[in-house]
Amino acid sequence: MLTTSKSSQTAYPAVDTSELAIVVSECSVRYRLPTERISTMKEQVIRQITRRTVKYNEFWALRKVNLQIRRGEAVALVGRNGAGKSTLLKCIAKVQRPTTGRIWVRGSMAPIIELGAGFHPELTGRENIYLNGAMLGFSHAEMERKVDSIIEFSELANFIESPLRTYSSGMHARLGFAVAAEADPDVLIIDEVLSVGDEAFQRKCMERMRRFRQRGTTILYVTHALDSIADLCDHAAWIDGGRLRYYGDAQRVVGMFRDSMEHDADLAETQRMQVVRVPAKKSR
Amino acid sequence: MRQTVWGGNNTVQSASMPVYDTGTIRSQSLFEFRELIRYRFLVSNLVARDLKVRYKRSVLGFIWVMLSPLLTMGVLVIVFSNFFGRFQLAHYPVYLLCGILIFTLFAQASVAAMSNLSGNGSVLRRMYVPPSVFVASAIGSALINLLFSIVPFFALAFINGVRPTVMWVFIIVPCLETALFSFGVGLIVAPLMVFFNDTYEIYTVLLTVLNYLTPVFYPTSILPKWVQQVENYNPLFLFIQSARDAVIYNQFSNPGMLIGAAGSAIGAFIIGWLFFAQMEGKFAYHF
Repeated sequence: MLTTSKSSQTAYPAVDTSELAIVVSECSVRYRLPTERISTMKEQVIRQITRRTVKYNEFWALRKVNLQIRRGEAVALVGRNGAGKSTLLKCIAKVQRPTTGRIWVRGSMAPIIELGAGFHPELTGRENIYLNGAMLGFSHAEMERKVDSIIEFSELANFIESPLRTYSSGMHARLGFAVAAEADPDVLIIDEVLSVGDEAFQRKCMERMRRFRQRGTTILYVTHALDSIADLCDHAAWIDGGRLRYYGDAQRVVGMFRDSMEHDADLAETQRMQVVRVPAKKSR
Repeated sequence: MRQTVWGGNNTVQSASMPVYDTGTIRSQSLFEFRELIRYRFLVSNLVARDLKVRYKRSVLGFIWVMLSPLLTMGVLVIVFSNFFGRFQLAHYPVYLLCGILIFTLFAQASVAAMSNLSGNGSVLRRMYVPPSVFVASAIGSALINLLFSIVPFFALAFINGVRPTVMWVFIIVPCLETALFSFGVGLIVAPLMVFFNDTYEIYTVLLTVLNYLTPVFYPTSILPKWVQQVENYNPLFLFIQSARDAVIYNQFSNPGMLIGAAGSAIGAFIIGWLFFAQMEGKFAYHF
């Protein structure tokens, strides 16, 4: 369904990359949603024989997004549900290839798209640290050096030899964040995950993110907690309907996004009231 | 000229950083191959995880791996010994176990490749790892299982009166060929499983058919002449035969067979790899 553009050799705007960490140029992602889902090979073969083709509904999750993020910058992505934030994040994190356009990222990446993806319930906390580290591309020796500080950061020293199925979801999240945090990446990608865990741990995460900033780590941050943005990020990008609507100073973009949401909420409110009024008339 | 703009201007510090650039990926197969090498530690980690999870909470533990092919062999020996004895098949138990081990390696590896890849969809949807690691780790686990059962195999051969020779070491070659062949087949069936739920059922039926078509528990000589000819194009028969020749008959199979075995293993791997690289871009949309 995804056809990577072969025209990627065509000219791209020339960019001075020496100061950049992430370049997204003319990036589009198309989803093709089949009107009927074929999930078995039997069906597929029957369809081939009877020559009935499946129709697709096309849906562009991203349309020609351009974005340049400098090294050491912290950028927030804001937008409504389904605006395409996560799709953009996944493209940057290598999880997905854009349908057209180009993604360029310099430096090692640690995505925290969902904490503890790839944890195994039967393995102990310690074994899971090694496994998760390997999924981030680290060798056993590298993880050996990091494992103590990961355990310390996660505050799970007492439980680290018990299987993960005995952990609470908060402990799960702590371990996941600790591994990604100690991975010490050049680019950190965070998708709405810090809402888990208690307040103390959240504060600790924010503290760690500030340390990352001081160290010059590039941070890309998706969240619906708009208040935490001003605290952490200097720039923000507002994605709306798959397009980049505004990019600039974090406070200003968040402010504009807030205003639009309030406006939309007002609009929705009036619409809802109108809908209610219609049957009332009829009954009279 | 674009090249100088994108590639140049690097400070010393940033020059050492890895760069991910979708614009420069010309061949997905090569890209995926490099990534698999880079993530080799993940493969070994996944193999270790597989083994730990499977045997952690079972009483028999690793002994089960050795026991299970022996039990199958025991049953088949009881049932078929008299029957195939008429064909003057020397060391029938060894002959049988050899076939079972190689075929089990293939069946286990390719089926595990399927379930491993689709079972880890949740990982592939959320973070980047080269998807081929899940196929590779399935093959790795099956190879380790084989390693455990090869000890009782040699013990049985010795008890059965086969004289141990240096040729026994050669069994490594057909085993590795089988693994590579399974890797290739796994790389084809695993993506199909992602797209079609019934791949598993269809494939296991095909495996049973293949099991009967391959001389695993019967001597080749009971087959009609033309079928014997066809068997020379059955890669699994070639692997099994070269293993039997080495262990039981203390000889190399004829050169044609050896070349055929190596060629089909490498060929299956290349075809599987190209297919997998072609399909993997669609995974993110299907999990």
